[in-house]
Amino acid sequence: MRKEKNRRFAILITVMILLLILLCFFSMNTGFTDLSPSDVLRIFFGHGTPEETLVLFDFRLVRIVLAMLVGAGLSVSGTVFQTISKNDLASPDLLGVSAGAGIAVMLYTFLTPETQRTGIFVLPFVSLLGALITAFLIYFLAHQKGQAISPLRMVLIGISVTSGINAADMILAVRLTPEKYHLVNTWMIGSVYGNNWKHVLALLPWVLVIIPFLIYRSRELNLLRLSEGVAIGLGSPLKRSRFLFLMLAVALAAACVSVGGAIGFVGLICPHLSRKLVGPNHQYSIPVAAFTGAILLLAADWAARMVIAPDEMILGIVVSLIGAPYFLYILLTSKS
Amino acid sequence: MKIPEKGSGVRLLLVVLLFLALLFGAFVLSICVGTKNITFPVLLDSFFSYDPTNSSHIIIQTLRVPRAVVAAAVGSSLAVSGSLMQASTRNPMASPSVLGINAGAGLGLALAMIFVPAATFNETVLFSFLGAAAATILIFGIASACRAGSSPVRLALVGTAITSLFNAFSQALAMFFNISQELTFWNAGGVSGVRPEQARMLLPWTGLGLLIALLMARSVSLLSLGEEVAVGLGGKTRYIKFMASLAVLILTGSSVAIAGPISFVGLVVPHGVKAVVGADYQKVIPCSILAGALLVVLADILSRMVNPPFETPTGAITALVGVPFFVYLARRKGSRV
Repeated sequence: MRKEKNRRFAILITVMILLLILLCFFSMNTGFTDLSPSDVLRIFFGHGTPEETLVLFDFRLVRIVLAMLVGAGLSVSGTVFQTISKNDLASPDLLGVSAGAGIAVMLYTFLTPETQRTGIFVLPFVSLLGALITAFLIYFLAHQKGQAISPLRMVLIGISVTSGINAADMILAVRLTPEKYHLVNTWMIGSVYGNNWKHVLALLPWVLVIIPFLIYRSRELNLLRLSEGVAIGLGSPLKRSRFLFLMLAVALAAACVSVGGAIGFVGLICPHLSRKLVGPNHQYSIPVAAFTGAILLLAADWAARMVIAPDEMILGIVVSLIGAPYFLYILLTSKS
Repeated sequence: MKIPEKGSGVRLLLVVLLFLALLFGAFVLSICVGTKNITFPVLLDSFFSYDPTNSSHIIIQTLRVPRAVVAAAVGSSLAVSGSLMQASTRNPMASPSVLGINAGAGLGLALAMIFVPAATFNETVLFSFLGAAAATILIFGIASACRAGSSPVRLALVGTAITSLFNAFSQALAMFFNISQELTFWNAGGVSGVRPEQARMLLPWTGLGLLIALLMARSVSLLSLGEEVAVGLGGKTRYIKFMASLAVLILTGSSVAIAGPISFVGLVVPHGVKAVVGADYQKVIPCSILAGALLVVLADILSRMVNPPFETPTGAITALVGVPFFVYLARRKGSRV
């Protein structure tokens, strides 16, 4: 039984990795400058002209890597949120965590003059602060004395707090200069375009530390999915581990948002898909969720470039077009 | 002084008079405040002895007055739409913005910008009306097809999902056809830059919608007591629901077409009004007309004052008022999920 499951998991992961490689390859071909598959291979192994190398390594490859990192991060963060709140609708964007991270970054952009911007490495911390404050606010608002938190109410409050934050964003945004406004607006809808390797370096440690750690502690996450009594009976220090995982999920989402903007629905859909594929055991569902997220965002980013080349659609819009119907589907089929 | 009871006519009269006085004050303020401040005597002059060479008079008559009138019309429309929806769905969280009807109207508008760039205002209203209708059919179709309609919170969430879907479509179309900038401008929501002829074209729609709402007020009251009660008391529920939805579509479609999505007005105002005059929609609807107008005129004044000489989106200001209220509702009414 277990062996069977492991084999299935191995096959699934292999298929996903192949799919990712394929998508990467397509993604490297497509864009404003035409690069044929053979060109890509040639440049990749160091035989391109300086311009070609620039296009491939500094434009295309950056977006590809970022799309994958952001997708994996948001998706895993959503998995953890859904587990600890025992709520299939929980995800960083629906709970307002993404919006909170977003406004913190926006405030930071707004308050620091262009000359002394300390750079991208500070942003994940700034956005973490915003995300934490919002997470506590929503928990506090959704909590009612003597009652379990209702999943639907929690999400609804998250959404309304998000719209409040968006309103505040907008009030701030009109005070920005047109150039800054354009930047912020694109970023708010969500995109991985116009970033460079520094952005990758800023995000990479968060994703590479938190996701493996979560996989390593997946057994505890599994316990959190059980009812409280059972988990305590099995000797799990429930409150402490729940708090730890919540912090990690918030941090992961915040880091992704600080680089990619508030890309919605990834953290909602991918955990669902991965549970459908491999079941609720986190040892399997976290890696699968990470890969699904990476594939989804990479595909969406590729589509965003394909549809209206040479112009670009913003990544976040493509994801919403897929995500919103799926959200409806979950809403209509979930038990109350 | 003894405060008259909730249901009494005296109380209604007092409330209406109070709202009228406040609305008048807000109007005067709205005309006087701005990049160029205008004094009250000049304001009177511009009405009673208009001088076409006086720049203040021109500003008043071509910019400030249309703006105040449109703000009031939009506020009344959204507030009455909200009352009608809350009554006919018996859902305290129903309102045009929450259930996705604003977003539907927005999609209609984006389509109008793309396919009929030279559309007159009335044609634009038609498009946004159709978009609103599509969203309405979608949400009530979903609500009646499954259990989603049974709980206010679930219906509100379905509305959010529909909103994000329609918004994503609008944004995608906007990028595809290169009208992002116009759409962003419109999306901010507000009545700055309204021209007198637009105001003149909006008012017949608003008038028609409000008239239907007022005529249906009694029947809608019946409906708010529950379908069985309404039928028992001789109401034709299908007819009432149809007329109420028609009024909602006309009011929402026209106001979204001119002012963009100004959210939460339709949610907050009916609740506020009900707290003051009771749950009888024959009173709630007339009071919503006044209170909605007051709220949006005030929000529009604020949108000029926050960051002069720039305009802050009015929709953002109403959202800042509306969100805390919405959270309160979700906490209180959401308890039966």
